[in-house]
Amino acid sequence: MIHDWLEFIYDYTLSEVDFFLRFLLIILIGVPFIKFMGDMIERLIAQYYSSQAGMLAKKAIQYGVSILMALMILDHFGFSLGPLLGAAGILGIGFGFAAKESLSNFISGLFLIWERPFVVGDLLQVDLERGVVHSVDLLSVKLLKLDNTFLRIPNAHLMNSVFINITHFQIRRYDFVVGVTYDNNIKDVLDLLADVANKNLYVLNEPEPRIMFKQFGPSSLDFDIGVWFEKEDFKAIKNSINHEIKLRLEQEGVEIAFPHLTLYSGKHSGPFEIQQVTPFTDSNKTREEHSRLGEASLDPSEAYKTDAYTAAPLGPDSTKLEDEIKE
Amino acid sequence: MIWQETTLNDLEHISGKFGQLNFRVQNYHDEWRVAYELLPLPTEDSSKNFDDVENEEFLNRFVAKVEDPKIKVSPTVPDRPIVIRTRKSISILPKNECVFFLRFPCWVRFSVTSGKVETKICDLPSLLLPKTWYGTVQQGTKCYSSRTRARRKPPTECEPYRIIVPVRMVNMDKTVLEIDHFCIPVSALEIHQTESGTLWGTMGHFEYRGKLFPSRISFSDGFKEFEPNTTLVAKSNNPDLLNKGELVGGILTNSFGIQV
Repeated sequence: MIHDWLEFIYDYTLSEVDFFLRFLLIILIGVPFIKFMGDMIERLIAQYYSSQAGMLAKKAIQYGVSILMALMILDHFGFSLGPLLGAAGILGIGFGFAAKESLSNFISGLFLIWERPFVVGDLLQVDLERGVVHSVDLLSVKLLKLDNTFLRIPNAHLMNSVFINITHFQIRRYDFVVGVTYDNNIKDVLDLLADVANKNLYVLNEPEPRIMFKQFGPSSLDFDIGVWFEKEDFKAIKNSINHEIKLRLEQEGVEIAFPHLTLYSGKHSGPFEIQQVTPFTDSNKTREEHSRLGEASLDPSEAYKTDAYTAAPLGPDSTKLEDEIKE
Repeated sequence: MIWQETTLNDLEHISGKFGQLNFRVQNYHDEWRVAYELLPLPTEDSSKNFDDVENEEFLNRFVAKVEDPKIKVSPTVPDRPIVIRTRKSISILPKNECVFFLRFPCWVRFSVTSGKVETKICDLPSLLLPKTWYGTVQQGTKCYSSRTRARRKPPTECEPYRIIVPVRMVNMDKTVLEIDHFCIPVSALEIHQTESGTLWGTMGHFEYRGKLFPSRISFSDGFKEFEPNTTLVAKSNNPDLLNKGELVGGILTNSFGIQV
């Protein structure tokens, strides 16, 4: 009797251990196998096609084999797959309604992959956000922003919005405006800017730099400059050409314009005369002395402290000041 | 002669000026220290002699421990194709052919040799060429830009840092072929040297068959017709391109062609 019991326990333990071992074997071999296969296929496809396609193929393989493995384990535990699949069908309908957005993202993702408007590594601008494409997945596109933050954009949003792929082509054009004062000769400035552009290390001489007079601005003669460069040189060109233009304009005595504003008091009058107020320099007199003598300190921050300031009339005496200005 | 192989024992160095390039290479224990700068032209005077090789601003360090080390300085071609513009466009009338002698600056290759093993350290330009683009703004090739007089006779003056490339242009079409600039896939070229030090590159052949048909392009050692006594000093960096014999212009429009 005891022997039978022992035999039963032994057989049961053996079968349990065997069962557990087989389960462990599926997990231990299956998981590394999925990872290995995924990585290998990703590398292979990335080599011949694109890293984006490789990434997708890896995910497809990993999800597919994982589902297969889960079914094998369920089968191993004795679950019948028929009712499970039936339940999955019913659940699928409910899931479809609930996951409408996800489905939309999924279909948009397929379109994005098929259309390939960008690839991993491209610099993308979506709305006001800019970032380097980190991955293109079935549900979303992940961007690494330039400040090293992570941005996830649902594929459906990307499909419905306007976005710019900044680094799609090998070369780009950097456009900017330079304004110089009105006393300069337009042709001379055009020649000078062309010379700076042609001598810059990062400017491509083909396609030719586009340098042209833009407009008579409110305070300046404006020139449009468009120089072509290799997309990797963006930072270098931005720093170098602006620096070189300023240096060269200074060397040639060409003044870079800044906004000017001329005020007129009326239709027939000339512009207001600008008067420079000389600061008070008689340091021998103390503030108390000024106050005593009825003089206001010219330091605006200190002025309110003097008696003269508080007593300064804005009424009749102010007309004297106006008369002085008119003279 | 700059192109030579020199034994460099520990802490020994070589230095020189070549075109715009001012360099110094030192064997520093198991490191090769290459200091260089590109001088503005004219290049008679150097602003630095690199006595202080520790100056990290100009220093490039390469770790390579070798027995009986030698440093080899050899000419090589630039790392990009070169677009050579003619000063004036040239027209080749139908059923005519001619040879143009184009020149472009070579680069300098520093390699460490030990026995038969040669390991490249770095390639440096002898003259700084402006960058350019060959193709449309959507598709093309990154190139360097240079100018040519498109001479019809081999240059007589010896400029040791320039490579002469003869290009035979054949116009097989019934229309006039107008040439504005050449794009030379320099990676395909071998470099040969004459006794006087002049460098010659492999000769290119370009056969124009009209706008509807692809042009034929090939390379050969046809330069020996003009300079028979030369020795090979640098093999092609892209022998596949060189050995194909005959290429179809349509495929290689972006690496070798002419602006028509």
